Amino acid sequence: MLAATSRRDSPIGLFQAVLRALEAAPEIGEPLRQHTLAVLRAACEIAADPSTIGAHAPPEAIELALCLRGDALLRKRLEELRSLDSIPPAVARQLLDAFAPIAA
Amino acid sequence: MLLQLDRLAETPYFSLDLDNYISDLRKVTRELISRISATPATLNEEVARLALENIWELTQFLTGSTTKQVPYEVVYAIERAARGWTSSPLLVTTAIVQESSFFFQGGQESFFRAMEAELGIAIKGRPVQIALPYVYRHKPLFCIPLFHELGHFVDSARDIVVTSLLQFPPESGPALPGLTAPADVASLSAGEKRIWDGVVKRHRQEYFADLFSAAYVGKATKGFLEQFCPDAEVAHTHPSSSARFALLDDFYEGRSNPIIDMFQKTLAARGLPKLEKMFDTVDLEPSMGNVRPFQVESDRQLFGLFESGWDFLITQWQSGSSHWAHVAPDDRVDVANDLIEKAIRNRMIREAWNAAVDS
Repeated sequence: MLAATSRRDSPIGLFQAVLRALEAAPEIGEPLRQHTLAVLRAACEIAADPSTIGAHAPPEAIELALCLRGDALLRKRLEELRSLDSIPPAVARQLLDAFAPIAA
Repeated sequence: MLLQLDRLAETPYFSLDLDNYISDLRKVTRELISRISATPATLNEEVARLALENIWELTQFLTGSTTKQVPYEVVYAIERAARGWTSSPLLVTTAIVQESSFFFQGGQESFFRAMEAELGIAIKGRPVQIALPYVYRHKPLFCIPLFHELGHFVDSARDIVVTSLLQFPPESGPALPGLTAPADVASLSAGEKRIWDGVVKRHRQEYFADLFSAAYVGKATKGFLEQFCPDAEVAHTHPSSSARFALLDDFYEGRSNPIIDMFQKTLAARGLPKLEKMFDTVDLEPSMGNVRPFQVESDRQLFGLFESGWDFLITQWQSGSSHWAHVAPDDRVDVANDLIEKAIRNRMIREAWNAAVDS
């Protein structure tokens, strides 16, 4: 309140680890893979139209949408995920690069 | 880590919710260990490691609560204020720190959701650890900053400021006092813009937490700042004191303010309550004036104790009247805090008694 600040870890830290795992070796279970895909799709929708944020919007998706806000190219790339049932390693790498400044 | 969780499970907590929560953490830990120990491993090692780190941090929240120094009265008030803002049961734990800072720590929502997706284990409770200075643990009126910190927790748990940044981008306002105006942002370099974005986020976080606090403890929010932080200049992490006071004054007086309007719209979008006065002002003169604790009849009065108590404390400290005139000023601070603490404790006891009688 005065000047001290609470410790706030990156809310997408675990999400980034999942993306790294997708890029490296496929040791992620199908449920977590699908969860990640769903979060990314929700993030794309929110980044494209923030007025869609509702009471039940996934928190990771809101955080990710903020990261995507200034990266139209990446948003366009992520649009591809709508028609895919997995996240290509190249897309995972691009996402990690985009999130790097936020996590730093 | 399993050993740590086993030890915690044996601690005689007086909370079934905490017991269930520890049990959930043990299930997740066992499952994670089992998956990375399998040949071949059925879960990526880095993901498992990060998940286990999360669990370790969550256990650290609990160890502080095993001490006998929990300020139950303050925790009770904070827990009451948190209701209505979180979707899962909130497990409030405490850490008494040997420094002058207050803060909250919560678990990462992404961790809970990822574990439920991957392992099929739902962790039902949401822990939040309150840290407060040792010297203030029995001085509820000096724990007023905890309502501001609760505002930070609610913001973080419900993504209020992040949502505001998406729905009301910094480049289109509202303008924040002391920072480059949105209309002039185009002239910033990419690096300057990135820094500016970060500062806008931090300032919005502080403004939201101030307003949240003001909704529960009213003018005590400003009163506390005036005593402990009267003239801070604008910084990367915090707005200037004068900017914070101006915003709080607008909120108290019900004046239109673009920053307040932005947060009200954001809260509505997230399906959360409006920021408004959540307390009833109480007259402490008949009770505390006679050195008796006030009888709290509702949660709104419970929160009202902080604004009225702060006002009472400052008045008596500056110029003691009646019985208080015979007490040294520094002792008046202790007595006033004792009376507020007793008022809250009496409320807790009556509530528990009524619940036992009614059941």
